[in-house]
Amino acid sequence: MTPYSSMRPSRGEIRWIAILLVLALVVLVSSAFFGSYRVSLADFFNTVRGQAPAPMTEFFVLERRLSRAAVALCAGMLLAASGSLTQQLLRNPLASPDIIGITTGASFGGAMVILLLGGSLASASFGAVAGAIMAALILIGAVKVLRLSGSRLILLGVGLAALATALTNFLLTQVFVPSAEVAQTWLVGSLQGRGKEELVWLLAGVAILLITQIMFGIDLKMLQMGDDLAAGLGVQVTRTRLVLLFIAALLAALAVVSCGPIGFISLVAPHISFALTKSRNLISCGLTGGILLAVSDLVAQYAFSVSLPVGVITVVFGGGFFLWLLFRQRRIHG
Amino acid sequence: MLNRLSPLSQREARQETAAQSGPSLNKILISYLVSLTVLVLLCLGSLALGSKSLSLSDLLALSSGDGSIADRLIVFDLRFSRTVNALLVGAALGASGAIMQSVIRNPIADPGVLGISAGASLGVASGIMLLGAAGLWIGLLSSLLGALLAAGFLFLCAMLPSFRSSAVRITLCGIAFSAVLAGITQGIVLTNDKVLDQFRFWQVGSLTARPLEAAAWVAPLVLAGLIFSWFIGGKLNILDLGDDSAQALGISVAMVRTSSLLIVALLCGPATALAGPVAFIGFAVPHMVRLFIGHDTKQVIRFSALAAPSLLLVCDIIGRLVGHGAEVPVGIVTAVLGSILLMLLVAFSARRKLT
Repeated sequence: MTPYSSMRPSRGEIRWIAILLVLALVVLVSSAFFGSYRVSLADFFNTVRGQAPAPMTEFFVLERRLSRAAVALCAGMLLAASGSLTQQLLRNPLASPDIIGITTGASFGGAMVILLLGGSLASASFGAVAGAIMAALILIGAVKVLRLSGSRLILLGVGLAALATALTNFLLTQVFVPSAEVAQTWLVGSLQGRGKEELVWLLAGVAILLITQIMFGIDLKMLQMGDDLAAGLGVQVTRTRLVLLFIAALLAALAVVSCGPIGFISLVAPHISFALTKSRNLISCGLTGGILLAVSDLVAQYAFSVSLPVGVITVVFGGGFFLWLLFRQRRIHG
Repeated sequence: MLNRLSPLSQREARQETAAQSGPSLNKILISYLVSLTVLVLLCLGSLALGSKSLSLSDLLALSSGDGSIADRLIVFDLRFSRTVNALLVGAALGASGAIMQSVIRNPIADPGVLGISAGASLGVASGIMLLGAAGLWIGLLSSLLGALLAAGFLFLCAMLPSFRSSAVRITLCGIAFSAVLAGITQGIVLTNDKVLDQFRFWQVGSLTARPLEAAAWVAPLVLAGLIFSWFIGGKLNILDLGDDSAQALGISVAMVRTSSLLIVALLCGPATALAGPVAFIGFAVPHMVRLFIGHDTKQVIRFSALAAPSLLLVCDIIGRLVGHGAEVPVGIVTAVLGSILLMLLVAFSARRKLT
């Protein structure tokens, strides 16, 4: 068991998870106090304890603000964990599901089910999962059959993402779209009006994320040392990589179903998390992503004269971060 | 197809043979004739086809002054202006795509993909935001400025040593840059009702967004850009030999690069102001042209300007016919076709050193 002892979550990792959990809680709670409807501290605590001073307060705090922030936290967690997985599995710091077409594939799948079959959120989820897995399969095919790697694999993914976006756009022109907001949800990603209904799906995703970390955390660490070494240590390399890639697609799809293809969180969060915690633990990475998305959403809602879709904020800052990564890195491995 | 990226010796060898033999004069004349014929046929098709298709005899009747008022309205008011738009936008995007692919030494260069169109969009949006009402010339000027800034950024990046060695990296850089610009544009658009009102109809590229008067404003700029790109082709041919060789042959490399940048902005800014962001036309057409006439950059630029309107018209006609009643904007059709082509190019250029 000696080689495994260093593979367990270290004390530093656990400390960082605790810190990030507290931060996430702070963001969650503070989200209740933004906005034009003022809530006092006492009112807030009373509402949370189930003794709301007014139905209005209860509606704003619980139904609107807290559940929206919780959706943002969970969706960010899923996106970030998915990004961390794809970046590790494809061995490329730029290979996050939003860049390589997995989220846009999910968005296309979900949009197709809703627009063509008139499905509910549940059936849209299956469409999104199917779309994401389809995109992942195409990428796996590119790796296995065409032996693509490195930046060329990323560029193929970018083409895939562009195709999925164009097809989603096409679907949107073909059916009556009741509002621009609906279209926005499938193209840019937005948290407008998200709440408890989506939270169920997201919590299922968070559960999957925790299980993945517990079951595959050690395998992931060993895979980082290289396929040969990992195989030597008893990891079934091909199978593990395949399973983990499917999990990554699944997590991304669940996030997309609840708030659309929000860009760049899955790219940025793993890097920030690694810079902070010096580990690639999925939980700390997920928490970082959740906090990022929740804060971005607060900025998107309240920093401007009109509330923006959160995807706009994440694209601007995340895209800037992507550029910075490109400039900083002399070479992209692969 | 990707010869500019092959090792220097191979590139030089191929360039030399291209310079010695080149496409023969006859071949070029025939190619011009063929592409012009195709273009004229497609223009007629664009006037005739759509949700209410007309026959050729109907068109002839209309041109001699007969025909029903409804048909007259459809052809002259609706289809004529979008055909003119397609000609202008297509020629601009085709020529600028070919120039960019040569200057940035990157087979995946395209004004839409690399963010020049996004820069032009941002220019238009901020023009409307800062100056209030957007007359046509304000829109044009601000789009020109935005395109120029975006092209400047991109060309500077392409000069950096770490980007120079890798076509894919500069492409990724352009794509990210494009996303950031688009995000900022969207932020501006969504926070200003006035801008939103004028903007939302060309979020995806469309040939029907602007009236014919706009085309009249854009036409001189695009024509000027096309004339300049006609003349810069020869210089770019020499630049393809490598900076050092070009210098030795008495070409001012910096001068050629800067004027290419200005030409690209001059072509893309107005084209984007006219039709919105139409991606992948400037990327796809030069590749198709090279299949027929080889790698002579001068000719590739000229033929791209001639062939791109044809492709744009085809995409536009597809967009009209594919949707049952609901028309598909041309930007979506070009994006579907272009992204598939991009994926094929990336997937199957494995042995040709697309690093």
